[in-house]
Amino acid sequence: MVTLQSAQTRTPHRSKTPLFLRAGSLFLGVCLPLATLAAASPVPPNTAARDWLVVSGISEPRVLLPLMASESASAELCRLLYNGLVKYDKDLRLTGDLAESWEVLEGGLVIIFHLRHDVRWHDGQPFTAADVEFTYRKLVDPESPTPYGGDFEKVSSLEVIDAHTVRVTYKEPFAPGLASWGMGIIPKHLLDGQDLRTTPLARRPIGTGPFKFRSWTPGRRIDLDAYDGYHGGRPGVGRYVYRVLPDPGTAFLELQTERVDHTGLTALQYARQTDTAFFDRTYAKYRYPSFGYNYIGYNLEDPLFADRRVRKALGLAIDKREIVDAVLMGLGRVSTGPFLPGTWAYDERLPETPHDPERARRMLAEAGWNDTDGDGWLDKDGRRFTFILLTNHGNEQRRMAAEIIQRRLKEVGIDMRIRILEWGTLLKEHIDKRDFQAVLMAWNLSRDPDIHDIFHSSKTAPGQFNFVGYRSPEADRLMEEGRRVFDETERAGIYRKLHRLLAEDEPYLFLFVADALPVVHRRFRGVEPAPAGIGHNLESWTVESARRRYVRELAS
Amino acid sequence: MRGAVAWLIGVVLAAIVAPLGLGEVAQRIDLQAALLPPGPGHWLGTDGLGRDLLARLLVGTTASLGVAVLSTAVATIVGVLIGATAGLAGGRVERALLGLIDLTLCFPAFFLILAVVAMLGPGLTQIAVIIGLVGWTQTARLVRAEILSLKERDFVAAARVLGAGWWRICRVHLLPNASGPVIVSAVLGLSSALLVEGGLSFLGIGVQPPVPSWGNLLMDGRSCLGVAWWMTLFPGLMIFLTVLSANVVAERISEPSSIAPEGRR
Repeated sequence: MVTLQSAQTRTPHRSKTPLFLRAGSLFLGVCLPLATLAAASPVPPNTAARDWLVVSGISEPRVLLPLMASESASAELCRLLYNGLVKYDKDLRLTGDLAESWEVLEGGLVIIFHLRHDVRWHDGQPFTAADVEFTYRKLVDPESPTPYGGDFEKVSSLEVIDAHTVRVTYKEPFAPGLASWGMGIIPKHLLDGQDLRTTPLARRPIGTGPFKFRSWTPGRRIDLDAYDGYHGGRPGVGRYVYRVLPDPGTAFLELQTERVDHTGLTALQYARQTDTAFFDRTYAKYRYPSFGYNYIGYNLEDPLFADRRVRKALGLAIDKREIVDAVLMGLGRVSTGPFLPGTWAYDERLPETPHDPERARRMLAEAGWNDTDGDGWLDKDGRRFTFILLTNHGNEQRRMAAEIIQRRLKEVGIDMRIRILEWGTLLKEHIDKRDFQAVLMAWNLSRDPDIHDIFHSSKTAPGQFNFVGYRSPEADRLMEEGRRVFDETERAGIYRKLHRLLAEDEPYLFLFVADALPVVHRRFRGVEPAPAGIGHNLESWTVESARRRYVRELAS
Repeated sequence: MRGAVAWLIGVVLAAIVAPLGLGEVAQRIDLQAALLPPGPGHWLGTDGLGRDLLARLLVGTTASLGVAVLSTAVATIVGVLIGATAGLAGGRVERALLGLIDLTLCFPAFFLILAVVAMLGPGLTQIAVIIGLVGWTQTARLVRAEILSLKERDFVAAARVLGAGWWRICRVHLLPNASGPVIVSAVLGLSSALLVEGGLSFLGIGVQPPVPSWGNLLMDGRSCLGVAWWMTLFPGLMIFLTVLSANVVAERISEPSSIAPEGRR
């Protein structure tokens, strides 16, 4: 449900993927015999040429299996290759995907899914309840290398009633339960008896999604072809090309030569480099809040940050607005808590922490931090107030934010040092081992506000997501209750209380939510901005015949 | 040549003086003045946080040059010790040391540095020492070759006949006469260390913010190449001119006329 996010635009995440991104399931080898395809498709094969959509991202997917897709690139492609039983629609409401309907019974303890009858895997085999059961077994198998098992721990049993009906029973009411079935379903007939770690399907996927796998050139690009038998209708895009361009500057140059159709801009590119006649004519720019927030996490086991007054003083000493203005060029907003602004769980009435260095100094003095030796730095028991802030390399916005924060903390007498580490090293050596004082990172959130994994006191073991070591019986209770209650209004009340509690306790210094700044080439029709972003209906974008760019290559 | 020497002297002066006078200016964040092009007030423009680029370049000299000088010193000391030992000792010791030189040469230095930084974490001193510890081989080979030829000379034989020990001969006769090539290789090493520091900082694993160095200033500029050309051009120019000057000076020293082959006896 949540992902660690390393960079701003198209981000490598770690671990849990946003639910929105976890959709589909399978894939297919390089070329299918035409006969199979024809047999598989409810829609007759159409030879009319469709244009390609060339997308760029900063990282290469690691595996194309939804159970193991823990960073954004994998999750993004898995969404096109696989489907879950349910998905979020453009307005972020749960709707059927592989399931055409479902019943929630016994106060949420039982969900019965009625599966579609017209779904076939990219290799022509029919999709059935056996695939759902197989996927569930893999998710809860302790041997499986999946970070998503936690969402299914509360399932007591899953029964296949017939080929197209599945009954899921929960041990206790579990509100995120329905949404968790957005997990991509994987094909039993191809994966049974195989080790997910070594299966060739991880690099030659076969799913049920709108696109089927065509080729993978390591380090460079992945090509997907439209799957005409897709149960959601024949895709309007003939081929989806994912290009790996790790440097946003390079991606921007590729935009200038129209070799990329769809990517995310940096704030600087959006604000200063795209106001040209060419760009206006060629690309449509979009802007909406992204689904994640940046924060400073304090190691609460460090004596420095165990005192809440110190954490609050740090919040008062920095100026979040200035960071949004300078680092995001104003393209984002200040965040006050652990949910996404604009969602029902987020309490908009909660005031932003003001920038008040005077009060910060007073609070620090109350906590025993004074500049007794007059050297400009606070000290206590002869020790200077100094700590190291870790962040990851390759994210300019985080580096700049860190430097601004460093400056502000210096004004109140706190000596913050910055250390920038490679993403993998930061996670493996410092976060997982909890060897840090403070860290500047971001969470990508799912659409369900369940933040149990991030703040619950039972999730503090090495490698788990509550790496700051936050322990609050009251917050624990609210998070557990929020999972048990189904009514959205009632849940909103619980999560708003939790929001206030976390803003008060400040285990994190919540910083900002950056805007997502995607661009799409103007020749595409049907791009529809919505709460879910603009990619939600990507497969149905179309290009009128006169404006196609890649039509010749497609002619075959 | 004069220009090169003048430039190097200027750079060294900047490295010593700039942090004293400009340290505060180089760190002053002024978000209203972000990304200003070169002009009055900010002669070389400002960066994304409104800091004066000229001040940062001058202050950055300290880190860049510091790393270069320290690593060259390490490389030269290690190189002279190993080269002289190999040249004088001969036999098995020499073969072992030559093996060590070949072994070190076989290592792709940059990746060795990357690996060590990954283990120890970034930091000026460790980077300088590592650059030095992988860069001594050229000096060692030169010193050994010089000593092999010098130790057969008559003045060395004369010194031995007079009863001088190897330590004294080495100190008074051999090393001073071998110093020409050592100086040249040190100056060349200086420029390559400067480039390695630039590369490491460019990759973000060199000097940590907010301390500027030429390499990380260059890196900062990369993300706004289309908006702020000055952030890339000037740090690049600093590195280029300094490396060029060092090479010109090294070339000059190595010319036969500049140092008498058997200058001191």
